[in-house]
Amino acid sequence: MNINAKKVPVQRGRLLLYAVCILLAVFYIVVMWWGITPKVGIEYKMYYITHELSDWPGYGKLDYIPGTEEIATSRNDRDGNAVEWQTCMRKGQGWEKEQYEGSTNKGGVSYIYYVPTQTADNCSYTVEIKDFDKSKTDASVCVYVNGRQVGNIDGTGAYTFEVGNISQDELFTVSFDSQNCSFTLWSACLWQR
Amino acid sequence: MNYLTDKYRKNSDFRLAVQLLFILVLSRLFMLVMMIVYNAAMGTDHSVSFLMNQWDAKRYRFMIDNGYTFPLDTDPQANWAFFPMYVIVCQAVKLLTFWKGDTYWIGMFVSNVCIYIAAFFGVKWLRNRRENEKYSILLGILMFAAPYTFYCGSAYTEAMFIMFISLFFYFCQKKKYLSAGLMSAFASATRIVGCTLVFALIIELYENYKQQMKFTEPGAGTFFKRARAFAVDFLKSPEQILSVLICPLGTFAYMAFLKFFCGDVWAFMHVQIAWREDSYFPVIGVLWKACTGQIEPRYTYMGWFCIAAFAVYGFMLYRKYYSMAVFGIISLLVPLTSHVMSTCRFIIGTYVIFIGVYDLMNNAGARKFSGEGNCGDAETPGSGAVCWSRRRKTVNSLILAAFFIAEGILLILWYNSDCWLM
Repeated sequence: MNINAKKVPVQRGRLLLYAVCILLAVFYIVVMWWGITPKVGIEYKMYYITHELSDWPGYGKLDYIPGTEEIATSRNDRDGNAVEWQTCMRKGQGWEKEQYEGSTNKGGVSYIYYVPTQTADNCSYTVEIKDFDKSKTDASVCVYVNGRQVGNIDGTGAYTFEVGNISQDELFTVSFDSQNCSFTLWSACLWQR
Repeated sequence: MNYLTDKYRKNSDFRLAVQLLFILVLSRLFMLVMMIVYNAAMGTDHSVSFLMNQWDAKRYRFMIDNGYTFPLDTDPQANWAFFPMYVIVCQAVKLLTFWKGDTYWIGMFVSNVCIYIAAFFGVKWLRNRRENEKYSILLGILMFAAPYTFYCGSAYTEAMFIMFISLFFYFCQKKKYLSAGLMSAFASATRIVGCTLVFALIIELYENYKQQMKFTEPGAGTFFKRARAFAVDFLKSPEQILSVLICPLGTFAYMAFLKFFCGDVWAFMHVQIAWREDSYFPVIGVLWKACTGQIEPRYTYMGWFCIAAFAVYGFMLYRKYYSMAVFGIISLLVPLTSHVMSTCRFIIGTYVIFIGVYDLMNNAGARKFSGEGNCGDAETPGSGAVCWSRRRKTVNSLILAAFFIAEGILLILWYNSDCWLM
């Protein structure tokens, strides 16, 4: 009788421990589930998770007011002083790290991302190319907007491309596909005609 | 006074505590002397807290004062890369001072207390493991004054992490596995590699089971049969399951916090991109690039330091410190998946390297010389062991002297924020 009386609390203790184990396991599964479904902003996702952005723009700073001209340099000059103009902190992969005199492509495809703050029709995209180095005569840069080719760059100077409509809060991707050349982007502006 | 003298003589724990405190104070005085040397040489007048707390210590100070914050637009290095346990403890201590205490001093106080506790239980672990551990205090000297141990005196997580690991192995030795699991949980809330103590715990459980079931006897079956028997026994014991399951609790609790803080439970891992973009072929590629001098010279040095650490862990496996060696190896493999950067600190911060070096200094070759032999007097039985003991003392003294000199040089580099420590 006494032995049975002792067994009951021991069994209860074991059951309690198993219950705690199950609770812990469930907690871990829930956390892992949260891990595959992160709830983060687009800047966070593109910089920290998918690494599509090479610059950290800051929370909500991928937003873009059409008509804003941005200069493609880093925030600080060589001496570490902040530059006076609005910099283009929305560059993706494909750009050299040093950007004191503008952004030079690495070869292959270089990206710039925008999240327009308003919907607009008949938009244009203007870029200013500072340097353009050809290694072959057929060197050129194809410019794509959301995967659609809108024009080419084949030297220094300003280029304007018709990009059509832009939608509010929808990612707008500009890609520069370079063939046998390197170029330095100085400024970029997406604007409504 | 007589009471204390009596206690010192009779109570081995008290004696150990006093001896360790003495070594700790000496090692910290050495740091102070090096500060004076540094200030005199550089013509500066920096304070103790300024010199002792470089780089990440500044981040910890900010976190202790302000908690976790979102990254600035100009700096993507978010502070959620740093685990919260050390910060929480420092905040609790700061609260005891009514939030008046200097954060650096609080961080250094916490670190020094942690490394002291770690050394105390580390030496006790050694003494429990083998009765005849005459020189176990050597472990304390290593933990307080070996190269790179200055991190344990600054506002870094190293000391706290070492303390939890030391306690983990102490509780494993005492077969208090639930307590060991809890220490692992705290370690995993201090640094991510704390989670990997779960492998050490499983090995400890298996070793214990093997001992109980006398698997070492001939005909005890193949490894797979033993492993299966162990797995069945493990599943029948809810306490053991809980001990294992609780190991990564600290990390998961932090991940749950991050979910509500920034929406991404893996934020501490994802944020690493803000520090390093290098991606090599994990481990072998990283070591190859480092050791062959393909990256900066300091990383070549760190690459070879990692190789030396792996050699020590190999020796520990040979000496049957299985759980410690496996933990050491895994915890070094984790950072080597991306870079050799800071690996010297990580190696020292996993505690087990101290045990490996201690064993190398204290026991390597002991068996060879433990029998009869001669040391000038061939007639005397056992003189080989005496001779070995003498030689060992001399060699150990030389090694310790080399360690102190290295620590002195490293301290100067540390005070100077030298990139060779990064």
